[in-house]
Amino acid sequence: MPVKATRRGSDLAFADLLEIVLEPAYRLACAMLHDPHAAEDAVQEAALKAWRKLGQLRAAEAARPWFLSIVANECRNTRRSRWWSVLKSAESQETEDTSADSVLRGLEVRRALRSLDERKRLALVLHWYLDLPLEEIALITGSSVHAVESRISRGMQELRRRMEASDAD
Amino acid sequence: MLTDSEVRSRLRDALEAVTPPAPWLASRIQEAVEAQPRNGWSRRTARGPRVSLRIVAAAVLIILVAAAVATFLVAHYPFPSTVPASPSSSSSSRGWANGGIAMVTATDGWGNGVPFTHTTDGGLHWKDVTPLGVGRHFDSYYLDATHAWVTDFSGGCSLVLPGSHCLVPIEFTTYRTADGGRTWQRGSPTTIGVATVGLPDREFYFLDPDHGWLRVSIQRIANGVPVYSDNLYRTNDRGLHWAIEAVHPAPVSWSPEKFSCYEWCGPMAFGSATTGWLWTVLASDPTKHRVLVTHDGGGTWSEQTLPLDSANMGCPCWPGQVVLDDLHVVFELISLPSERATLLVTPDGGVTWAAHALPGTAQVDVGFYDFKHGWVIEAAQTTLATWSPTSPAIPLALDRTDDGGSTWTRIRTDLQLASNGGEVGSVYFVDQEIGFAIRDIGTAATPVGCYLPSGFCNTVRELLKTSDGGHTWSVVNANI
Repeated sequence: MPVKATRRGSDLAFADLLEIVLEPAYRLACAMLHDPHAAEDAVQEAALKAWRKLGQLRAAEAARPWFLSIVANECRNTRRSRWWSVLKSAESQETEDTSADSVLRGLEVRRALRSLDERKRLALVLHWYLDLPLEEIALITGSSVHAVESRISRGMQELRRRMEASDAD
Repeated sequence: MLTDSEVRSRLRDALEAVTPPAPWLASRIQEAVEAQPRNGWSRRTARGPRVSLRIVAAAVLIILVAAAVATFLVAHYPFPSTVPASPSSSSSSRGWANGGIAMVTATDGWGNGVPFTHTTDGGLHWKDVTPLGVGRHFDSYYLDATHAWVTDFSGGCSLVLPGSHCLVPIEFTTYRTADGGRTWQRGSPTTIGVATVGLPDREFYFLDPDHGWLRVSIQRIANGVPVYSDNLYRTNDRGLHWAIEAVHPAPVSWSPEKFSCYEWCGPMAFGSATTGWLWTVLASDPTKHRVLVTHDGGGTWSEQTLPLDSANMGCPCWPGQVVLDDLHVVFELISLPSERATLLVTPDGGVTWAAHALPGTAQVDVGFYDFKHGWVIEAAQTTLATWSPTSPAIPLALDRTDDGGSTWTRIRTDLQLASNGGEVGSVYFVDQEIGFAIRDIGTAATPVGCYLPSGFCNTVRELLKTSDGGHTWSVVNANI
């Protein structure tokens, strides 16, 4: 992508950027928030911030980690907002309407993921769900590769323990 | 013991199950971006093909990626929010606030967002005045210091599988306040259509506390076939009840790849209960714009003759704000890619028009607080887009007019458009002396726990005020 065109602010260049980053951004937000509507809001807010700060994007190849870092921060803000408590109460009804084993197992896994520390959860989602390399996750989270590895490892152990406990029940 | 592979597989399955496709997310974002252009300069853009192909491409990409998931997701979700529609975003007159904050007098202002807020002390303190009972997503609209409306949309579908149609009717309920949000009156729910896919494209305009219009573009299913139309609703009782005033149907043969609106897609404004204007696009050539005028409150429309020929109307360009003072109308027409704006003004309800050039080679913002008095910021969006905190500061080139745009005078000001002290996102005046500006400031350092690059974290938004016509500015609220 021609970065100069993007930084000059053409709508088409921004649309190009969206094409590249929107799908992983939406998946990331869904995985972090477990609510498609909140995820859409978070991605939209992130896009607006990216649009306003497009001049800070230094290279086209940095677009994905740059945008995902904004999305991650929006997700963090969303979870802190006062509206999130309202969302959470609605979310708890998720178990009421389902019966299939696979669906119930999915609920347990998501519940286990939610219980993780936010940084571990983010690292796990980025690496295991979005298949991003450690170096890119380090860029997104502002951490060293070593720190990312450590979070993924510890997060995986915690997740495994919770899954096994759930299976035993 | 579960292997890493099994843990990972379960994680992916669980997350895929809560990640439905969002085929209209790209268009929603693009629309929001267009409604709030970079650096906060608010300039409403006409919807057209300028980005639609990219939008469609992005939407198709998302659909393809998520197709596997979609096969077992047949769910109806309540609508999420969209950017509230606004006829005159940068004007201080009414509508939706530029940068989320609109001071309408020296002391009173509204914060359009979630929550909906109001100030009575010049922006120092803001109170949540969101009416009880509205959902998480709503449209808000202010008229003056005391009158405002909040409209709650419900129903419809945000996800419809290919080959199927949404059958959940869309309904809206308007709440109105006449006392600055202290109390609200709830209107009757109005159903605007069934089988609408995605959020309806919509735009409100309130002329006074009693009269308002809603333009909404819907899709209906008739005998299994989608039928598209742009509809105009009207209220004469403060928004409590709405009735359909006009329907602009698309031909049955018209089949868009993605439906947002048919031809009634641009800003709308009324100068009286009977006379109003509507910017439209031509479905046969969406690069062409037309301005329609009504003299019966919106029931019938005819083409407004303007001092531009039809070729010029497709410049490419987009309409800016419409500022009304009864019969006095100011259209701002921005030519692309030069970003040079022209004012079209009428003092007699559209009978005669005059075109006025604006100072500078490009203008990022133009506003009027009445028919005679206005201001313009000279700069190009492209200049602002490439600016960064390490770049040289951009001085604020502020001009004002006291004769309806015929002549302009440069104002010497101590406010900079962009500097390492922050980026000014909007400037507007409520009278000849009092004006406000919103400035975004980001910290240079990245604090612990912030994922964002330097300059993004701890961004604060300041509200600044001038009491001498823009010469000197001071911070009213350092973190709004």
